[in-house]
Amino acid sequence: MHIVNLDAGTVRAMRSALSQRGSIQPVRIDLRFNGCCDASLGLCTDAVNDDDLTEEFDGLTFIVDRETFRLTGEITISYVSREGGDGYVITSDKAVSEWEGFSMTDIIF
Amino acid sequence: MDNYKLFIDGKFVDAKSGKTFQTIDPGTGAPIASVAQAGKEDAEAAIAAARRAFDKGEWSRMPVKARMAKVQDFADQVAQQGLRLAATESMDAGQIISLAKFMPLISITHMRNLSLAAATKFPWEEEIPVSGNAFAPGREFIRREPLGVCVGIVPWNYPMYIAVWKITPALCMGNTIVIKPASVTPLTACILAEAAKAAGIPDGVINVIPGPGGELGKVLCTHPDVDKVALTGSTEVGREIMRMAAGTVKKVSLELGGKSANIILDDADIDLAVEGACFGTFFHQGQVCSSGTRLLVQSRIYDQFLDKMKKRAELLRVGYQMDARSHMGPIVSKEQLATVERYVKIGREEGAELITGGKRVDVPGMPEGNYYAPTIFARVNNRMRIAQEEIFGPVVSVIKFDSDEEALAIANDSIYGLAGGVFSGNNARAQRIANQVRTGTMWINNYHIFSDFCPFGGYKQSGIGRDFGLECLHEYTQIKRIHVNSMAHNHTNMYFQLISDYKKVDGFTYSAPTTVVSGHGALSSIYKAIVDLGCKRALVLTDPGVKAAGLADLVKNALADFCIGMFDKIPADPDLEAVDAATEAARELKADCIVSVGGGSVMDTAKGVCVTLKNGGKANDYLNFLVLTEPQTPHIAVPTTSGTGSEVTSVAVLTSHAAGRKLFIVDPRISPNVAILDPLFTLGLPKALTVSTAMDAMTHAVEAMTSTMSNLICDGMALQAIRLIGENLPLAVEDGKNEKARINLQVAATMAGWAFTTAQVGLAHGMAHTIGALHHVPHGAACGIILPKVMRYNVETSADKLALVAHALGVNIKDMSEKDAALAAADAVEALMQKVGHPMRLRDVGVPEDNLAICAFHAIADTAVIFNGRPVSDPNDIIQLYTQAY
Repeated sequence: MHIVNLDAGTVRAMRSALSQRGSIQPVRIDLRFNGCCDASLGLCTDAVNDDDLTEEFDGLTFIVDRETFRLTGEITISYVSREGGDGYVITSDKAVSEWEGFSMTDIIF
Repeated sequence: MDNYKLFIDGKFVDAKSGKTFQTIDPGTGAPIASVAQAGKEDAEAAIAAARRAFDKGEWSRMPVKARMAKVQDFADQVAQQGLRLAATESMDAGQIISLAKFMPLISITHMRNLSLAAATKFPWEEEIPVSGNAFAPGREFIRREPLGVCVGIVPWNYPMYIAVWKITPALCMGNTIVIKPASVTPLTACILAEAAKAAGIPDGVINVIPGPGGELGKVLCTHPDVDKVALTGSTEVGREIMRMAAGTVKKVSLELGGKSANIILDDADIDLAVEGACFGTFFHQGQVCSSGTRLLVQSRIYDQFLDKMKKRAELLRVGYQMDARSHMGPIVSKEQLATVERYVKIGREEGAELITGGKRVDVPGMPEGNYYAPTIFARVNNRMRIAQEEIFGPVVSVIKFDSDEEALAIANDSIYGLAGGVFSGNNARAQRIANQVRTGTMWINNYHIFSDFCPFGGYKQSGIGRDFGLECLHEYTQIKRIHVNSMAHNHTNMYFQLISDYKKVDGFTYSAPTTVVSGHGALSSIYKAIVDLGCKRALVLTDPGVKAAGLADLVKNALADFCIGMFDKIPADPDLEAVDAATEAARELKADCIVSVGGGSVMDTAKGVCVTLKNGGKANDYLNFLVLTEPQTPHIAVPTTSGTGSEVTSVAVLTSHAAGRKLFIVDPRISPNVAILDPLFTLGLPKALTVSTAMDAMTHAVEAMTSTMSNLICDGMALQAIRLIGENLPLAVEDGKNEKARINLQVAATMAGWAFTTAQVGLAHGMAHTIGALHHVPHGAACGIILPKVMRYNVETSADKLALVAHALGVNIKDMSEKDAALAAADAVEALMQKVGHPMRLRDVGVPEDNLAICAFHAIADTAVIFNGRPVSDPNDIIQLYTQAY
């Protein structure tokens, strides 16, 4: 069972971001609520908890809460460049909201 | 099961792809309707329809009252559908029926209130009475026009009401709109479309396309035919919309998330505060962006408050939303429920204390419903995720604070700034707090109060722009400023002349509002003049010298009981501080009329007082050109010199120490109402002052003739003034008591004042202002010394006018060339000056030679220089002239 899926470019970008911050903690994929309707998935560095699922992907460790994963299914993270900036777009087998894939996010350290 | 279609261009249609989706009742988990699912092509079709409808003009150019009537028809059709809308909203969005039943009513009221405001209160056209540009006269006004095609993206918490928030202002202001309702709650927007159709809203004006935001959002936010995007939704989505909209510079208004602080002070009515806190958090299951989900409770009442709130929260009945007994219904979707649960788990992990709730609620008969208990966390610190991130469910974080300052610091420690509350028994204290919380709405002793005319929107990352109120209507328009040139000729346009060799301004506007009373005994007319002005309380302004000479008392006596006091401290070189001091005296005495008795300094100070007294503040607030829109405090001028002409001019020259130079108030409305030229006031003028003030008047007249703004009326005034001065100054110097000569000099100064107040002055004045400000040389003396030098400088462009000046001064120019006659004018002025004993050189009046260069750099920036007949761009020219005059 895969928790997460990334392409090579995304792995590179993430590794670079973590390295710049000197962070060795896993990357948590979590439900985040950013205001007035429609939750989304976000990224942050965090320690592993008992209820987490973990997966190593190309040298990076990802964690997600078991209940959250039950909601989302497999999660795909893509690093994109759009007019105005770069960031991560997170989608999942079962979308958490109709806006999934629309906006970019960044890793919260 | 009901089926709902897309509404595009006035028709109900299937999606191009044929796709549909089901919408679920969150209370039962069962599907309640099938809805067409819009895709990219449908979005493009809707935008195209909205574009056509806008460009066609039937809606956008409809008279505003007719548009109001159509919106009222729309509101009537919403009323017709009221019951269906309420029930559908309740089932689709999970709103308790006791809330949902009001939604149609407040939606109708919103439509009627805003359409009425748009038709009767909104400033569609606004005159700009003073443009702020003295050099381009004309009619200035603004028109507010619709933006065009708007996109309204509506969230799932108040699907109908927020759709109305977007539709109403867009339509009232002449726009067309594409509405994208939230996919979990699309139905009431579709019913609104039916109401619009039934009301006869023209095809394409409203379009409704339910569908996934991720797919439709990009089209709606990047399409070049969309002019504005209005979102109520998440900050993350709002951020992306701003980014996308930037590509085509669309207008964007965003109403985003919040983590509002509801502050309970220790003097609050505790029972009221508990109700307010519960309502502010648990109303509509906490699915309200303005919810007070950070509850800040002052330490003195913390335990008591928390205990009461726990008990109150546990009395809330969570049940099926269509059950009228329910206080709280279901969370809108399983995904949203999972989010709430995740945050409750985070709260526990962060160490917050769960006081109550934190679990699902089993509602009998509704096993698939998304019910969650009202949840209270205590021992929360503001850095926790449950205090910083919006949960959008029935979860509140209670934070203890000690002082009001600490409460403010906590309240403002958030990326959001949407709303907030203060509960206190002390309005002043509550207001102080409310003023300092950086948020768009503050409720005092209340919560979640929305009102159609009261703007709603966020600070910081809670959004941009406002819903509700006239402020919202403004957001759906754009401003066009229209300037209509008063004198449409290239030779009257000072801007066009910047790239032309033709510098003269042909054409003019002449206005001389001052009533002049002249002659022996004219002073007595002041008694009638003040009555005619409707005044009763005259303050006499004067300087110490005029006071000591007894002249001010003559005026005081002539005013009799109308005189309420005298301010006699005006300095020789009036500055802003002198104006403020005299204004303060006028305010204290409640003066309604200013009578100036003195020379130009006193009269200019009086003009400043009249403006400051009328409009409030300080003199420094009014150093402007042509900005006054009303008559000022009435002013009667009694000149005691024959020089400045200030008794009839529209300019006050005042020294600003901060600016290091003389600055001006220029406005026809500061011309004195009445000028009294009684020779009684100049008979005793010492010889030196007689001479220097007369040279001031001479300079006014000569420069008015050579100015780029010179004109036939002012030339006539100026030439008569020059002749009168030339003939009468030597007589007055010889015999100071020569009343006829004195009267003639007074009239000459007034006529020269009339001349230059329209035609302006020039380089001589710019140079004189500077050495006056920097070296305190009396203005008239400075003018006299510099004038002949500048006359010779201007021969190149103004020989014709200077030849007339020579003639007015008695030079026989019959056989002279124009240039020679012009030069002879300068000679004649110098001859007059020598005859009457006027100082001839700057060194004679204390100007140091090593300062001439600095003076030149100041002088070239003087406003008067703009109008000099010969253009002046090189400070070296001015240095040369100063050197010649030195």
